[in-house]
Order: sequence, then C-alpha cells, then structure tokens
Amino acid sequence: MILKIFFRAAAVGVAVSICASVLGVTMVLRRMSMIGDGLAHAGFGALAVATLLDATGDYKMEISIPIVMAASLLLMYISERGVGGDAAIAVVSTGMMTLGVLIFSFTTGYTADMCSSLFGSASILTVTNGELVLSLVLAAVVIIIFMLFYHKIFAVTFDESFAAATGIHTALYKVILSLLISVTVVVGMNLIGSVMISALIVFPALTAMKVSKSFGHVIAFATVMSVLCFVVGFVVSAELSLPVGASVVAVDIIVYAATAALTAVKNSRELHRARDLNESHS
Amino acid sequence: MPLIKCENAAFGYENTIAAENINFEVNRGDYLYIIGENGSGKSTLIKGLLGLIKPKMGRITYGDGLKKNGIGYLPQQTDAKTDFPASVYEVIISGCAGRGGLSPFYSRDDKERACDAMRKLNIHDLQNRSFRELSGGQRQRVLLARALCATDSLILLDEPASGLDPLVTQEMYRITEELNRRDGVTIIMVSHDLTAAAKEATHILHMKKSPLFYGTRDEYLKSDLWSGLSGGDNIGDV
Repeated sequence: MILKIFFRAAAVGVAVSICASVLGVTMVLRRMSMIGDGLAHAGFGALAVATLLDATGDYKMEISIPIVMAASLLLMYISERGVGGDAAIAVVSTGMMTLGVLIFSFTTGYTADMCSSLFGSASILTVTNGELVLSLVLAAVVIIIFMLFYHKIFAVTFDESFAAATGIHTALYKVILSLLISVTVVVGMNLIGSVMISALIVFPALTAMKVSKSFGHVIAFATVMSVLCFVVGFVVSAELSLPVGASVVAVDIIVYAATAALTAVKNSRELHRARDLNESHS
Repeated sequence: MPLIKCENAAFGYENTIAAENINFEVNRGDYLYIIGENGSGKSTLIKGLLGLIKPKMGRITYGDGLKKNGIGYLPQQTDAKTDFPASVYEVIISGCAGRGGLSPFYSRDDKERACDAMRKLNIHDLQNRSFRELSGGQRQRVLLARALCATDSLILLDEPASGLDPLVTQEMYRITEELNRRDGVTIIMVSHDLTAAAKEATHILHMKKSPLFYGTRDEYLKSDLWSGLSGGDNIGDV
C-alpha cells in the first residue's frame, strides 16, 4: 500500500517535471519566467475557490485549471493594454493570493490543505487514482500540444517580429504557452507547492542552457535533468521525511550551481589556453 | 504590377503619426534604399511594410505573387539574440515555420530551401555550430539565410551593417548585391550609409517623416538633396 502511494505520487511528479522543463526552456528564453511564477501563485487562489465550491475536494483540479487559465489571459491582457509586464504579474499574483487567503480564512481557516498548496505536501501525499489519471492525461496533452507547435514555438521564441512578419500568429502561441503553463502549475501544485513550482520551470532550463548548444538539445537535456532531479529529491524527501517540493527544488538548485561552476571553470581554462596560444604566437 | 505599392500611407502608434504621405512602389528586381536620420520614421515604415502594424491612412497593396506575409526580414543586429541556444540550422529553417500552415513538421521542400539558402550564402559548414558562438558577420549571414527560407522574392534588411566592422560591412553589401543581381531577389535596404546607397541602389526613398525624395538613383544623384548632403564629395552618412 505504501509502495502504491509512493509510485502514484512519483508518477505525477515525473509528469509535472517533464511538462515544466519543456515549457520552461521557452519561458526562460522569452523572458517569461516571472509569468510562470505569477501563475503559480494564482494557482493558490484558484485552489481556494475550488475548496469553497467543492468541499469534498474531489474536483480540485477540474475547478482550479480554468481559473488559472483565466488568470493567465487576464495577465496577458493587462500587460499588453495597461500597466506593463512586471506590474501585471504582480497585480495578478498578489490579487489571487489575497483572494486565496481571504477565502481560506472565511471558510476552513489555515489548514494543512492550505499549507500544502503553498509549500507542497509535507510528506508523500495520497494521490487518488482519479487524480493520477487526470494528471497523466493533462501532462500528455501539454507535451503533445508542445510537440505539434514545436517549430512555430521555436520561431516565435527566437525572433518574434520575424515570425510575425512571416505570417505566424505570435499572439496565439503566447496564449497557448500561457495556457499550458497554467495546466502544469495546477497539476504540480499539491506536490511541489505553488510557491516553489516555478523553480521546476526555471532551473532545468537554466542548467541545460549552460551545456547544450542547440534548442532541441536544450529541451531534451532539461527534460532529463528535471526528471532525474525530481526522482532524487523525491527519494530523499521520503527517506528523511522532508517536504517533497523543497527537497526536489533543492536538488535542482544544487545541480544548477554545480553546472554553472563547472562551465565557468571550463570557460576560464579555455580563455587561458587561447591567451597562452596567442602569446606563444607573438 | 508592383510587388509593393504604398499609396498615401501613414503609420504610427496610438495617437502619434511617425511617417505619413508615403507614396512609392517596389518592382521585381529593384534594389530600394530607404535612407533617413534616426527618428525619420524608417522603423515605423518597416513595421508597416512587414504587416506588423496597419496603416493609419492610405493603403499598402501587395502584388505580383507577393503575399502579405511574404517578405523575408533581416532585423537590426541589436535585436539578435546573442545568448540564444540554437544551432545554425535550427535558426535558418525556422524561416520556413510560417509556410507550412498547421503542419508540425518541416516538409522536404522546406529542408531543400534551407540547404539552398546555406549554399547561396556559403555557410554550409556552419550548420551544426551554435548560433551564439558566431561572429557578428556570420550571424548576419545566418539570419539572411533564414530570410531567404521565408521568401525568394523580397528581402527587407534593417540596417544590416550597424555594429559590424568595415570589412564585414563590405562583405554584407557584396552578398546583398549578389542576391539581387544573381538570384533576382528584390531588396529593400534600410540604411544610414549614403555612399553605399549611391553605389548599389536602383531606387532611393529618402525619409524625413514623409518622403523628401523618391525615385531612381540617377535622379537622386542629380537632386539638390544629394548635393546638399554630400557637399561635393560622395561620402557621408545621413
């Protein structure tokens, strides 16, 4: 039974890790990382609304996903029409957090449920069969949509005005990315926590960008790293009874820091070698 | 029928007009230079030509087989993403991404176009290199190849020489001229470089919010505008 719980949670985690890392590369390159973070915080508010509407908690995801999606569209609308990108993120993310805190205080109070949606589950949470299936289906949908639009997403990410000039609907792809991130955030929120889920979006991408030279390689490497980091963090959290989210993110951070340090050493060595070569020539 | 025809067009943002009374046309095989100082409305006009903004007044018509989004575009060097992890091949073939409709894959035709573009610009050996490792000149060639993937009829280059050293700039002009003469690609070049314009252009559009001059190069060289700017020696930037 314990083993079953363990594997169910792990399966959800792996699926979220894959989605987050794949989308993360585009988000980081498009300088949209903070949007991911803002939507993750919006997830907390969405969950509060879900608790309000459905006390049994059976349809948490089904209710939260459309709310976060709506928040993502609102965020895009505000940032294009009104106050500018970073302020728009602050508006939506703090607004939804506030909504969440108010709803929780009026209804259930500060419960373990609320804590786990903020900071991730304190120990391996019980994922029901229904949640497991829904999570895997949603993750599959995210990956399939990403793959279908892969080339266009690359073109838009690399150079938006060129893409627009050659007839690609750049606004549409921005919306698609935002919606996919919304789904990912909600699916991962209970396990990792809405405060930390954007780490899964950002760190694997940053690590992969340090070592890979092409976009395809960055995506592949980020996915592999993300899954490995999750598995290590997940096992560690189970062994040492640590919160899942924090353990996984800690592993992500360590791997990124190590990669950054190694590439820095390598680059400075190459620089020295090139300099020595120049001096011996002159 | 011209590829592009601008009739009394005006472009701008929200409540400001940055370029107005614009009348000119681009025909197949032309090499049009758009020159003008900073703030003369060149960049706004480019956005209009590329279909990124709609004209506030007047109209642009595309013809002779050129579709509205059929312009290959070489952005300013300053826009180039120097830290973007992409291989040269990925960048070049992304020029085809707008061609395939909803198809998730590049067609054989797309791949051939990419190869063709690399051959024309002599960058076959760079295709597996990372875009961020390239020099400024190599990067411009790659982006030009990407533009060729998007179209073989008309390419718009936005100050391709800014930020490049003089030798690479010469090379860039040579390549563009070759594309125009040898491959019959129509060129719209946006530039500060009057000398280059006087040498290579077939037509010149001199902007200062609205056109100060539009016509052939020979007419331009005879105009008061040219003698006033060049002061007798044919060297100078606008």
